Amino acid sequence: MSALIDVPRGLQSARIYHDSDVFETEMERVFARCWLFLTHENAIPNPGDFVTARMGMDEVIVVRQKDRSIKAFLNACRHRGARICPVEAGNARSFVCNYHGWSYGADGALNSVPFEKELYKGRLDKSSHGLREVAGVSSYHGFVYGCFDPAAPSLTDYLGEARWYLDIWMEANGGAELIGPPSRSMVHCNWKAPSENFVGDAYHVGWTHAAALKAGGGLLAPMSGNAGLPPEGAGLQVATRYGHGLGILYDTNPGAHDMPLANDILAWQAKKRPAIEKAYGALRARYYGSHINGSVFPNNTYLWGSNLFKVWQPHGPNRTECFTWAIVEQDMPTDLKQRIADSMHRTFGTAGYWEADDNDNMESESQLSRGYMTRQGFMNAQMGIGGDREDPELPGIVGESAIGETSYRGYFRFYGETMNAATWADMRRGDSTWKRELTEAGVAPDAGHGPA
Amino acid sequence: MGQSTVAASVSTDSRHAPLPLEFGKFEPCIDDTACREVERLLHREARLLDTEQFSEWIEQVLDPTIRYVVVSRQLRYRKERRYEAPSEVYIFNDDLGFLKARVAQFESGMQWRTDPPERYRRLVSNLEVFRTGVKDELAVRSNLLAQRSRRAYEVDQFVCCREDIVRRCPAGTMRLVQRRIDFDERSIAGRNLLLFL
Ligand code: FES
Ligand SMILES: [Fe+2]
Repeated sequence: MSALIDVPRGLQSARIYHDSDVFETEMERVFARCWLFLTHENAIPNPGDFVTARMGMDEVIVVRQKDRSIKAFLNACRHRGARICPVEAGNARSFVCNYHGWSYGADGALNSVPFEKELYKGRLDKSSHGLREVAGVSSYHGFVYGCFDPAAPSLTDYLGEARWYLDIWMEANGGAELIGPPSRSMVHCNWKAPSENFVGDAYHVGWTHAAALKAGGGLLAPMSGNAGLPPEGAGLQVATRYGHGLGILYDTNPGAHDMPLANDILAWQAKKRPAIEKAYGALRARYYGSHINGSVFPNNTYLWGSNLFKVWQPHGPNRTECFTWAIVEQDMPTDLKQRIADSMHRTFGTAGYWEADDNDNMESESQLSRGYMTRQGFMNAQMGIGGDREDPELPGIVGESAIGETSYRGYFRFYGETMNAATWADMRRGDSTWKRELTEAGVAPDAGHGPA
Repeated sequence: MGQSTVAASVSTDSRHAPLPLEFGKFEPCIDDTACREVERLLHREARLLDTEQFSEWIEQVLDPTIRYVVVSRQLRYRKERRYEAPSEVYIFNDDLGFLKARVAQFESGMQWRTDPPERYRRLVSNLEVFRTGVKDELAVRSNLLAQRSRRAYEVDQFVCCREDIVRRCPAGTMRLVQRRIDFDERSIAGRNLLLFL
């Protein structure tokens, strides 16, 4: 897996979209040890409330406990491995397997086994047959993530410097929540194709979404058809530790929403902004009113401004299930929350007229990598390379442009790191070098041909 | 893109989306002429949509007060009573203005995804027509199979039940006032639902 990512030259092998050994390694080294989004706390407010979710190819049940903590378990029976819970959400006192009727508590304990005495004659150790528990479940401002690897850093440390940016919409505004249930669809692409797009691709907006921009109006409309480039100083690209990244387009917050709704959101934000500015400073208050695209590594993406929150769940090298929720501010009136949710699904949901154009690109870049010769090549994420730098005011590595590929490079630098590391301890060695690797990257004259 | 007005027989939720129609409470329409008129409307609609005549669809089929809704329903236990979060997500919740914006996007000449043209075939069946009790208004239930053939290899099928309200407009013809689809397939295998169902 060492030849997949070329950090100094900002290149990625096309094999990462296709090869089954890459995919299998990702299940082990990415999905079995990174923090993965599970749910928002508001979806499971009461003890016994649960949702089911995916962590890579594994299915889990996420349950609110009696003590209000949250636990997650593999959704597989400890008898013969049948699925315990076939629904997406609910409130349960117990989970009973359909196959032979083993029954588990909300805490995962195996509570009862049909005819236990008569058939097992005291030889079944129920105490060691509880549902297998996900090692770490933790929430950040109500957003719940799970991690299979007990050696992983805490969620707080995993998000690291990305928190400074996430806090703008997860905390400074009084808190955000997700409007569920999510929409779901199967996109015939590799899971990284959408994750990389959202981590840092402002480049495609004017061209891929030319028709949507022209027809839908909204604050981003002047970009339609690449008619205009955002002026210099219009935005920022950011890469942070462990692959997270984002892009900011200043002062365009209601993004893809129609103008009547955008105006209502602007009015709402104008009221809140002075308090945010006072508590968080002018810079972050400006970001609150900006459009932010980002991904939390590996597969969790958001658009603050267009109000979408997604996970891209792998089903195979060219199969990815898209789950989409709307992000709203918790203290918004219900009517405004619902209008935002409807508008977000209209643009970025299963029938979203922005979404389908994106997915088409993601499908073709993934599917073409089936070609033997095609996937010998490298994909290019060099835009802005050589200009990435540290900034005294801004956490992470920044690229000073509204359009650039700084966060692509950060995302794939960490992807390469985790794919080639045996343990979290190995990965932690990069903690001290990753910034230098990114800021010192630059295009060599022969770049474009890939690693020798 | 204002909010549409709705007939007295139609109840809506807080986001102006119609609630499911209770066909069991309606009287079947036994006026064959009216039933055939509805059938002609749905067949014309299928033809206009299949042949990409979207502006004509808006002009000839839709009432200006149209509310067009597709919901996807979260999987829950039949007996679930204690979990109260909403189970529906609105894939579409459009009024005339939003439907026109979708058509404008298609007709912009800049939608690279639909070039070469996608081909559509809509099969409309199981048509039942009911009286709602409101003058000149009918409730219509039909099943739809829509197939999208795209590029060389992509063939996606979409199957659903439409719950429609049609009404005679001042000009004398029947128009679609409301469509509600509770989509069967939870995770859309065919990539997206970006088509008029
Ligand atoms: S497999 Fe679950 S009870 Fe047997
Ligand atoms: Fe996009």
